[in-house]
Amino acid sequence: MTVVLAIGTKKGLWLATSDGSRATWDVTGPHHSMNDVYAVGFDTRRRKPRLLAGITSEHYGPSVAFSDDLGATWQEPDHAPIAFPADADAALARVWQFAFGPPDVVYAGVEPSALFRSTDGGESFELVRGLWDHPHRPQWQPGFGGQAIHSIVPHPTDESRVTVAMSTGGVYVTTDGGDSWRARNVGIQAYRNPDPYPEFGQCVHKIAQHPDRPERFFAQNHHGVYRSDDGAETWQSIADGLPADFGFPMVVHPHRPDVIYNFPITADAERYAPGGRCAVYRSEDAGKSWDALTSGLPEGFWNGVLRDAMCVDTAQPAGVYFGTRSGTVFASADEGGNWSPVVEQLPDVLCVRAVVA
Amino acid sequence: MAVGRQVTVRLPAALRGRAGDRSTVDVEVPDGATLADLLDVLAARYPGLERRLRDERRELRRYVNFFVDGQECRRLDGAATPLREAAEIQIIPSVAGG
Repeated sequence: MTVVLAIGTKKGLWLATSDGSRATWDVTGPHHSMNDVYAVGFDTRRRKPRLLAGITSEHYGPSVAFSDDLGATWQEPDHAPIAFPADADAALARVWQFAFGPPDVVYAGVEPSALFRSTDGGESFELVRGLWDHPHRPQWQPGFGGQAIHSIVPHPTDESRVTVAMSTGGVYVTTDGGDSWRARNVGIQAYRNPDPYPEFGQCVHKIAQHPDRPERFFAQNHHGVYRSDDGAETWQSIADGLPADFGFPMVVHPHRPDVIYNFPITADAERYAPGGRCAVYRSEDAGKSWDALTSGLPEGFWNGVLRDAMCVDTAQPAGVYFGTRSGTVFASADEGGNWSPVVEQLPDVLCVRAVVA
Repeated sequence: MAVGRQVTVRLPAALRGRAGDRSTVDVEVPDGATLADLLDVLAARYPGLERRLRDERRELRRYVNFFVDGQECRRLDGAATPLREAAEIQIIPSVAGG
């Protein structure tokens, strides 16, 4: 068994490879040097996994590169893989997310907030008009990191149903293949908003779902951690037991739908781990209770973990990974029980994704 | 019949691979052509180059400088800057980043 971990940073992509032990890692990079890499994704539906990278050059703009040999070589189409049509009067700033939906669709969430769809493996995308034309769109506002769709959750079997989340704006769901979208933020609090529970406008940082429980979602909000048991219709707090309800990632265990991972940050105004203690929090009962996972993680950690900088692999037992804004990537080969560094002193880690090849 | 003008585009090292590994590209543009017209010609010939110079609204990328006969185009008429016969357009990434 080979595990490949893609690490997107502010200055390029690194690839770490290990065997099933996930104890030692061979690291290559930077790939796409000096491009920020906000999004990576492994399309495992192909005979050989395709690695997609959303890359942005400060000088030459955004693009999507792909590799069919796990990063040994890369291809980039001459045409812009993702571009707004002329009548949209918008320009792509960067790609924030890839997701893979049935039967062979690749979705991309981008800045400014829009959803794109590809049916050729991610080499060319089309704007999902129904969301772009949503009457709420003029009121979506940029968060501190920009205005983008950062979470895309295609229903595992129903290709007409897709759930997205954006900062700011909140959660939106389509049940007709993208033609129409409805805000689904009931119960999610909007921080620093005169109306604490508006229909939309929440700064949802990340949503996640396990494919075996498609009616259930988990969300990390800009203050607030939530679960929905009714397909995102309503949300209930699951923040009790966490040291803080602020943070960015929300990750579901690959095999156990009740197990989720989170990385609390002190507060909106104090963006580092509570008390400077680097700790992943895991719930094994869908958010009813939480345990701190700290074995092998540092103290004196005055930093954070960004929304896509945590992931799992699909091995048994599952591997869990996260990268920090201070450039260290940690791995656990035992579902979070013990951690060790994969690589240190990289640029700010923006995203990580793992594949078992 | 429109009279053409020959102009020369000089590329930074990072973009030469998008233009057949050329450091300079000679382009014929119509009489009265502007920098935008030149980029339209490049878009047809080297789309992988042009999309790194302009976004999909055909706006010049902010951190790419276009020197037209030695003057950065934004001090002239921007993308509407007219090109003379034998004009030299030097494309240079600006000083940016951290």
